[in-house]
Amino acid sequence: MADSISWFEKEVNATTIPLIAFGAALNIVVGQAVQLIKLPLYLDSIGTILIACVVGPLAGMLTGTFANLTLGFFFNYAFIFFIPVTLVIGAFSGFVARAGVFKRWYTAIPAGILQGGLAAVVSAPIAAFMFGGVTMGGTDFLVLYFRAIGKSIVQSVFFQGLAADPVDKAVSYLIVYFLLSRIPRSILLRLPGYANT
Amino acid sequence: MQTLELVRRKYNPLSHYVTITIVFIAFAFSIEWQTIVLVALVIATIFSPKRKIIYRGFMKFVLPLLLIGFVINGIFFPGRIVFSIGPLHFRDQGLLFAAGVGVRLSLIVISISYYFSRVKSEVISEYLASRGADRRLIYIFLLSVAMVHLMRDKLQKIYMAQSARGLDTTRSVFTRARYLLPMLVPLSYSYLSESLDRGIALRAANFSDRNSAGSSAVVPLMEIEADKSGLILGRIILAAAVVIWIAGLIL
Repeated sequence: MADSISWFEKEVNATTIPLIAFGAALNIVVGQAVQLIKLPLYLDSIGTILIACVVGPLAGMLTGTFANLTLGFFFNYAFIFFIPVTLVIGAFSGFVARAGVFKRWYTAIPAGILQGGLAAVVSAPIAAFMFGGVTMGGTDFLVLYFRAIGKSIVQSVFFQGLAADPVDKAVSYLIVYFLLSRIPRSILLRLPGYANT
Repeated sequence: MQTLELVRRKYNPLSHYVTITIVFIAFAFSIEWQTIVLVALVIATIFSPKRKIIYRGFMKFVLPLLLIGFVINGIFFPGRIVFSIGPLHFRDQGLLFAAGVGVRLSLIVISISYYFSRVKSEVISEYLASRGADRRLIYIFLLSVAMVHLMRDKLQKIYMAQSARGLDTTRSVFTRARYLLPMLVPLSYSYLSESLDRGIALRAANFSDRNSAGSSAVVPLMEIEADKSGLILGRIILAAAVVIWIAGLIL
């Protein structure tokens, strides 16, 4: 009976399971692409945003979780602790996709900036409590700067996140917009949540 | 009709209960307790045949983090100056904070890597499925691991093709950013369509229910022989840690 299908069943079923796995793998592989062409960004949420957009928020949350689990188990354990951040990214991008922000590039960018702010709020206590504000990323010098001007450790990590994440997420949202506009419609129309975006 | 020959594996759940207990201690217990457990863990890893893998992971990911953490927090926290190197003054509160973070992180990383050096991911997956975990989630994890390797190879090929067409990583950031889409679009296109096809195959195999008895997709890949004494001992260790923590809160 269609009514009895839960939200989980709607977004995690035989059709969407390979898509979620693809999104998780895309998050990891885009990180490698960014390193290959030496871009000063992370762009490690593109798969999460894409799947949240074409399947739904719950699928996006699962995509981010599995990407971080895979990264954590095979590459760097630090990623496991940032799963709450990926949950926020998946949920937020799924809901804004329903509002149609990916229909135009000039609506995708502000949504990405807002997403970056939210990610900074969630990641700051994790980075401060678990890692003492140091994550070995290129933005650690910003933490150092804010500490030098007298901010507390949580404030420093939060301000560092506010300085770096909105740009990163705005670019990620823009890339997802371009991906959606360049992938053939015959493929997009087969995606279970694409009609809602 | 038997079409799949089962692989028989032994699994001792003690190792994962010990890991869960150590992660719990890393979050709930005081630094003194954590230090005692960390020393015991380091001694245990010395006798592990996989110690090289564990230490390599620790040196690569945790040690630089700890050293930089000590420098940054030691300098910028308030408190009494403990020692100075030139113009840099290291203060007690910062060093204590960095020590707390370092012990916690070392406990978590060493215990998890010790666990994964002992157990294969397929064995854990099958064991979790046999204990009632959602098979779909396990499948997503295994499939995403497999897809990472396939997509990395494909990305490398696309990168080489783009390099032959003039991709130049020495140019400005904006020019390099423009190279990203010609790499990501073919990658996403091919794997999106492949994932949709895989979805059709899964639907045909009735892979929709959590643990559907009639589904051909839920036939176990291997037979897991769990060690019962390890399971009981593991649960006792975890329960003891929780009881000690609660007693510490009350007293």
